Amino acid sequence: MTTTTPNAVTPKAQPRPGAPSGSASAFTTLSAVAIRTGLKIARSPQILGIAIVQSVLFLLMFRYVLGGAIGVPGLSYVDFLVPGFVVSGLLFTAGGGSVAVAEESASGLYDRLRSLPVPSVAVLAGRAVTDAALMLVVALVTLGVGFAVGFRTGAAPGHWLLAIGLLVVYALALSGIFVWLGLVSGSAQAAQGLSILAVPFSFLSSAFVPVETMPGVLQAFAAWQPLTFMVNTWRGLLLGDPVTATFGHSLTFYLVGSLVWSAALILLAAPLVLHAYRKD
Amino acid sequence: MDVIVEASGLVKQYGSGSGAVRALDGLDLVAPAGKVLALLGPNGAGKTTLVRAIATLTRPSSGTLTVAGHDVLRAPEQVRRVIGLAGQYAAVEPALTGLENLRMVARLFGHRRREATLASERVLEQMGLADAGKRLVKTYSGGMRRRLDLGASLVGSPQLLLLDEPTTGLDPRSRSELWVAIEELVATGTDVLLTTQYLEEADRLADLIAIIDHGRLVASGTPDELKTQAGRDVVDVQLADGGDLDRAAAMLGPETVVDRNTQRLTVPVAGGADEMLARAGALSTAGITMTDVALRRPTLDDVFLALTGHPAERDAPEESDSGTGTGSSSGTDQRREMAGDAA
Repeated sequence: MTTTTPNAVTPKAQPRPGAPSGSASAFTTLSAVAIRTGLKIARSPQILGIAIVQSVLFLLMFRYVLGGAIGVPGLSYVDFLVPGFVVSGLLFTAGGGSVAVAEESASGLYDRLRSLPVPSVAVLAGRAVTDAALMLVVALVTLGVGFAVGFRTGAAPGHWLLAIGLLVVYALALSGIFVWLGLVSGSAQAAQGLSILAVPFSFLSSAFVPVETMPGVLQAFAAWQPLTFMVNTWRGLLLGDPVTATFGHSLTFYLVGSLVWSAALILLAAPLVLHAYRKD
Repeated sequence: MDVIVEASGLVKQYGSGSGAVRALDGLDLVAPAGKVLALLGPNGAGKTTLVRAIATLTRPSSGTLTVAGHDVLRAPEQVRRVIGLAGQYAAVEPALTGLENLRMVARLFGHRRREATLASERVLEQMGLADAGKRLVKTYSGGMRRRLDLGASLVGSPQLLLLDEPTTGLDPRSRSELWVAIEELVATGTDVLLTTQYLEEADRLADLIAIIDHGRLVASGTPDELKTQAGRDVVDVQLADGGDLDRAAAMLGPETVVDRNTQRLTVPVAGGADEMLARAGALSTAGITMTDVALRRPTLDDVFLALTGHPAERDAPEESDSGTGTGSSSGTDQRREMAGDAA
């Protein structure tokens, strides 16, 4: 007599009529969640509308209210500002995603998803992908407005392509953190509050002013934080070599640095998000 | 007997040290396949924690829990293939149509694209939502959303359906519609485990009732068995003057339950009509005026009280939606109101 398999405990496993034959793959899961979120965004014009209005209003205020008082050596402020604004704007749009995640969590959606035989990673990646797409749309509209208010660039198509590709990478990298904030916040209101953190985080970077003007400790933080690397990469790609001289490092330095930071953010966010999602 | 859910010495502890709370405190429970089991208990009794543990959302601290023979800790994936969960909130997206909501869940259950659409349409039909399938869920009434949510837990044709307080917060008409839908499901052979605070609901839907209090099983059996278990008939005494309540209660003995709002006293008696007359006579002699005295068979309410020492939640909450929902509601307004407070 051979050993019996320990797993065959009960005589169940008779597939019920109408039950699916297989189970959903990671890709199916990701796309089902992404389509659901995408449809929701498409059907709720206020989500995209508010994000765009907010972004454009702040751009105009920086350009016309604060801009006159900020001097950047070797560059007009609008040229300095627009790349910084487009990239840091990712954070503000991501804040909205965080609120949506908190709402979905409170609605019991994640309880249902967790009770289904699908990989958790794929569920969360589906959410992050849609958030990143929304961030990208808002960023591109803001860039368009940037041109309308005087931003000029002679960047080559290759640089443009790379810049847009990197924007996708940055959006994905940042969305994970905001999904996590949404999951741990406990309520949409709290998530809204937490997403205000995007303000100090973007001000303490090279997005709006050169970091050289900040005092010691702040300058050290601002110079090395991820957003500065992303912003300076964008500036370098769109405005060319004279700019990179202003920031003291080469474009390659910032480009590689921004990719390292992106990878680090994803590696940091993934376990946090999974842990928060599975917490009972 | 095939067993669908088996819990043994199940403990779920939140926190540690002196602040620790045991939501489940050594629960033993066997749910046979092919039956509807109702978990009955007040708020905080551990019903929802148990459902969440069965649904693999909460990891038990100790003890064992198996679903269709699969251990929830060792084989959560297998468990998830067996169950469908409808939680306390209607977890449906208002900006999507009913069909779209179901189709996403059907895809996640593993249906191919075409199967997913067919299964979703079948479920819409089953839930009486066929006409509303192409409408956005934000135009649905609260009852329709709950039925859609119930449908979402069904599109994968699960073997075991978990319903956590399926009708809490619904108006009476929506409740009875949902009950009909659940009864039809049971007729197709789906096992159901539901939690409820309403004795009426348990009486109507369940083959078996498990009464849970403080994280433990207090009693279980068919509704009739439980009523018989309480055994004795019950006398209701209605007083004319609320000021006599305490004196009357003292005379009727320690088992008396006092309802101050209605000036009613309830006491179990072993001696039938004779004892009722004797008790009423004694009250009358003591100068207590009664407007009504009645002898009756115990209800589940009385059983619950006898077993747990406190009354179950009573009435259904007030009507929470007009049944004509307009676009104004968002997903979160379907949240359950706490129905009364646990005694």
